[in-house]
Amino acid sequence: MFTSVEEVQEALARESYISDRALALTIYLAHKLQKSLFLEGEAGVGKTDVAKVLANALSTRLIRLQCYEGLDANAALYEWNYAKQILHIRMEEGRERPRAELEKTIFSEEFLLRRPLLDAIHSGDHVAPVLLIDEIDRADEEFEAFLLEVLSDFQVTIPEIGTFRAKHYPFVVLTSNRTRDINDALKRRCLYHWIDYPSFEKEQMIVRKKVPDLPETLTEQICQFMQKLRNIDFYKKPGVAETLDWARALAVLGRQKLDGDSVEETMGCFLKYSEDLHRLREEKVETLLKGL
Amino acid sequence: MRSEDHRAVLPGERIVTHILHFCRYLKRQGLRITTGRILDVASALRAIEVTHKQDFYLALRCCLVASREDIAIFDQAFPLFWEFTEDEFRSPLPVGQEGLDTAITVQTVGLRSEGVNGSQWSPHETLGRRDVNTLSVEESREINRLIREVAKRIATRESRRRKPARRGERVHFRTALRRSQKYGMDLIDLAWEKRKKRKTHVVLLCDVSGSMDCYSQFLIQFMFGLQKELKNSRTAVFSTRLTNVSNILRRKSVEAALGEISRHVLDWSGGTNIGGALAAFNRTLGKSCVRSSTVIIIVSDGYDRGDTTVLAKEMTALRRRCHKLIWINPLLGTVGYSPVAEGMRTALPYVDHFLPAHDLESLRGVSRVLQGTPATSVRSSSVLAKLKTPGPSLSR
Repeated sequence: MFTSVEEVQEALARESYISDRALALTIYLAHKLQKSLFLEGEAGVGKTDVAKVLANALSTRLIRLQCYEGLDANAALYEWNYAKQILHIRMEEGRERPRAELEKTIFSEEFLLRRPLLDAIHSGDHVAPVLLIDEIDRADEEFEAFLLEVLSDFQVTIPEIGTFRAKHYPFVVLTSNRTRDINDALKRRCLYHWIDYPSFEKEQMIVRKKVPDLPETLTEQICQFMQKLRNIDFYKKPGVAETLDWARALAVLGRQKLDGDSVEETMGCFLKYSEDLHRLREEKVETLLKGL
Repeated sequence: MRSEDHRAVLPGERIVTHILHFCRYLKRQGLRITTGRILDVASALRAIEVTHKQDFYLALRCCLVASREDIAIFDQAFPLFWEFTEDEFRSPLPVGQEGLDTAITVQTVGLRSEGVNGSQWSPHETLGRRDVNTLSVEESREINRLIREVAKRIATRESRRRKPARRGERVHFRTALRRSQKYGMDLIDLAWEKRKKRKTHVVLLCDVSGSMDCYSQFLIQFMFGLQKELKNSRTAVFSTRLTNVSNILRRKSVEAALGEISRHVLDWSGGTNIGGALAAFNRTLGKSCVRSSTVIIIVSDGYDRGDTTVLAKEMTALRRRCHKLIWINPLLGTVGYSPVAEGMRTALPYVDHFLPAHDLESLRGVSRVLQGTPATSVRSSSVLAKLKTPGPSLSR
């Protein structure tokens, strides 16, 4: 349990996650008010990592539900293991057991496939887990309505077994890449935070923490270059994840400073579309490197 | 409230009233403030140090805001209610100027001036208002009916979800096993499931430049009908600028909506810059509403004064991201028309269905085409073949 905003900031820093006070305060309030955390932002800015880091900081499990179009209750909540049930029936055929007993066995927890949401509700953990619902904007509206129901009471009724209630409400983190607008009712259950691309100083701190064996001048040059890149109109702007990939690549290659050749060779680390590579070449890497 | 007051302990009642006023103001500016949210604010303020200015700002913000655009509106409203000196209140989130503009002004997106040599796009960009006379009642009704049909055809597709059905492609195990209980767990009575049909997301981009003037009655009818039928769809109009009119079209009364459109769309009957408009679209609306399931309908005659390389590039980008691209050209119905205008020719290879729709008859044709009758459809490949001249290279 977090008791202050400062505690959240320290916990995040301990896990090597550089954040500003705004995020820490939002996390603290979400925790205190028992609301969910809704993180929105461009791709690669560290939304998913918040959940991982929080799970570590709270010494609890991270349960992850990755959303995609067509995700429904079966894939998110639970499903019966039909194959196993049918096999069991077949194997019991010769044995002449009473039907009622067979039914009870078939619809028992042994034959239940627990999916992330059920896991979060009925986990048997002593501490509330962190439930990460990743990229909720990729799921559809029906799933949102279903999720709203689950998040309201943290209670699930499986007709054949009974009702499961959460002993400890999980801390829910929802992330979205803003490819579509999320249902208002779902947002109302959450506290909102937008994670933007980091400033030069922040990015520098992140690279220093995550890729410590990179020479300081190179770290500075990478971050300055990234700031310039994000002003260019790419199809997909590089995020922090890309910066770190690039930094690690340069570290492995043993580079000491940034020059045209290094950029040319390692472009694929931070730009993943051929149009963007083309665009970068148009912008003339040398002009971008000037003044670094 | 003076900034000195924040150092003293604030009297509880005053701060609550002030917060309520603040929330009411935000609601008028377009934020979705509910009682639940206001209660959240109250709980949040209990949990933090109220006299700490930045925390106060952040606590209010995370409870009241629901999107990035909301942040911009919030940041503009906050200093009006809570006085901080310049250096005390600094938004921790560097919301760019463009974010503020988009949120505050009506959603009009101007074109970036890069790629243009600084001069006006067209000498015909007029800033006049538009007067539209309505159709006869009969025609209106018929058109509305046809539009509903068209919308239904365009916008249904198969979903990945399944629902129980009498006859289907897959066995619905859960129900089948339940039913088997009465046969001693033998699977005798099977249950089936099939794919659900769902509404596709539709985006409508309408050319309202001078050359499309004579079709404006129909266009307006079409935009309305589509927006009413498909509630999630988005509509934007363009001639030299792109303007998002989805919110305006959602108004119940046609007259009110028309009035607002004429107020906000300043370039009705102006020149045409399709490439530029698509660029603006791709950069703003397109990012948030074009998905792999979206059907994009462009209604334009293709007469374009803009740069065709820009048009080609934007069409590529657009086509790659959407499910289908339909181009409705009112001129297509005219006898002897073939798309020789550069704009049209550039855009054609990226289009899945190239259709005429300038009156009732052609609307029926659109409906038929979307039902899948090949004879009446004008596929882009056959049109290109007719031209017998090499079109722009296909770079999909």
